[in-house]
Amino acid sequence: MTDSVCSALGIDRVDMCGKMILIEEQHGSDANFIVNSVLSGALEKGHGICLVLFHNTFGHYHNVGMKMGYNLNVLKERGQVTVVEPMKIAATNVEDLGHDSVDAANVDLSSPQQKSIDDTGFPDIMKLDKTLVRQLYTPLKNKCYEMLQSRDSIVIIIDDLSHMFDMRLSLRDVWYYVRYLWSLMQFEPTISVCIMTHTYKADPDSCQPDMIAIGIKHMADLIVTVKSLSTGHASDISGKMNVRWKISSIRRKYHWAEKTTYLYKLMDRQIKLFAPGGANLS
Amino acid sequence: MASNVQRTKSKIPFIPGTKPSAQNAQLLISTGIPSLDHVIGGGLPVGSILLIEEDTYNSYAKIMLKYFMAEGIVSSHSLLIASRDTKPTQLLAELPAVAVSSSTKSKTQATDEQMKIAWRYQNMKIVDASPTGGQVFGRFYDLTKTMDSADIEHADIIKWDGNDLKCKAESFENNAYVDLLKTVQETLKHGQFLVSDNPEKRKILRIAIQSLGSRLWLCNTEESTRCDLLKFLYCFRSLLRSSYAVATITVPAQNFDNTDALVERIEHLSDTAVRLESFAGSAKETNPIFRDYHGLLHIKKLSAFNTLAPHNPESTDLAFKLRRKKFVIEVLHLPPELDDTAQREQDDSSAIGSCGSGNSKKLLEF
Repeated sequence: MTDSVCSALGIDRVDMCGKMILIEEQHGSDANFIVNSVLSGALEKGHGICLVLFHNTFGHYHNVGMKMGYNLNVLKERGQVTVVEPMKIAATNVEDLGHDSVDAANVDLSSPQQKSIDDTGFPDIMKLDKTLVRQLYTPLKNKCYEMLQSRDSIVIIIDDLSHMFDMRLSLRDVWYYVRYLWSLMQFEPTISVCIMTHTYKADPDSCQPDMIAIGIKHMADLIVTVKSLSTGHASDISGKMNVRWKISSIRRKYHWAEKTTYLYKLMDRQIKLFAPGGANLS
Repeated sequence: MASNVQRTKSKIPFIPGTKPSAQNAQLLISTGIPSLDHVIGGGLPVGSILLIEEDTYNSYAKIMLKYFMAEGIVSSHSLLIASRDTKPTQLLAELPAVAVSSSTKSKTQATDEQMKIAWRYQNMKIVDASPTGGQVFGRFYDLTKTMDSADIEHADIIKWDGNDLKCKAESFENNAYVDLLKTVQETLKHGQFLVSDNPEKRKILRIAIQSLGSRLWLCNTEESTRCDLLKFLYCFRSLLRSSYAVATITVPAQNFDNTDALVERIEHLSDTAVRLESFAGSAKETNPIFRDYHGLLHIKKLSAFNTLAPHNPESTDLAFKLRRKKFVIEVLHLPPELDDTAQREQDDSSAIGSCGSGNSKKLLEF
């Protein structure tokens, strides 16, 4: 199922604690299978999981998990998996919209903002709030610390960081979010972070999702790039995947090249990996 | 009755106008165009957004949206129509009526003949355009007739034209987006379309948004126009994910300044994305290769709901043609090369008329 991907990434052998994985999903491809592989790999090792879902719903991961052989709903009840769903926050924010009509808007604004600065606050993406990033980060941090009491190590998985730009956050804000995660990882060395972000191959000087990916590439220890085939649609191959380990000691230990390229084919219940040119077409 | 529905709800609830996907048991609804349903993997998953990037003159995207709405009315779904460009009442008045038993037989015969000539394409399937299965899923519509106004009045339709804006939010510059979001949210709530709701009879809400992001949606600056549109779509997406609703949005993608990949970002926010390229006004209009079609359909994205692998279409070279009673999407193939090859070599517009080839030859000789 996902074993082939895990071993291609090397995350089944390397201790990922304190390390950062970046999954770059180039436009036209779907890197969700890598996220699911990291997820199932971490579950196999018995790590705790903290899912931060900007793009897909928890239901999606549960359904994929059922095909992969684990039940996320049960694991969530047991406390091995915890979920922060900013998408749900957005939906609730829209629901709360009508309560402050045009005139009363300013009056209503002040009080929840005050509340949200301390950790109990509920982020509201409908408002221009400089502390929004912290409000999005704080529940994640709290859940991680809560989980650390029962689990030795945690993997934080961010499904699509680039959606933060869609919430009208600035590059600086999103970068702060990444730095918050980074410092959390430094404080608690048993945490590892896996960030997936979508990039567009647009102008890297002005396209924010592309810029943040470049920034994280400098920090990450393992970079996985998923792209579609430049030659177009193929029925035998879904796309191309590049794996790059930046820690040279690990590369030397396992005799890995700095950059390895694979072709992949997604199927309903499994992922097939091929070396370029070596696809066995059955 | 009610308890019966609730008991089965945990599995796949029966809702008129839906069918479960063969691949992943996801509930699907029809786009109103059977051949498009086939191409995108059976239909639109409930809770998803279909993005249609408009053709140059927005003639075909508008028709596709009308099919989507008409299909909703016929399968007794609720409907929310939002448009700033055309009044929703006008869109409703132009909805096509269901075509009565169209002449599918003669059509298939014609294609069979073509197959004989173009032997190379014998193994290639034309996209199956006929709706199958016992339950009616997807119909053909007759563009020459409009839908009965009694049917439209009978249906549960909410119209939004952006004239009377009640809501306002700090982070949007254009309050039309806020108001539309709020309208959608209230419709979902009052019509009990949310997943958490437990109505006696589950229904589907179809949301049709025409020309989102067109000139009538602009803000004062380009930057905030872009931000508002993306933020709207993100909130919209998160609303839909927790409800029994499906949206179709047409977007004038050609009008956007795409230096920062705005169109691609919109595609990323939607679940299924197609781009229409009509031949009207382009050099392809007179190209004999494309004479059988009215435009090309580019699949930009296919949804991967609850599964790792999105639907894998047989071919991505697709073209569409519009008939009076049918809008068909087919795998693009070249027209059969008949003995008079003058057609293609001369590239003469007079030679394109299919039956006139013999006559034109005579004209040339004398």
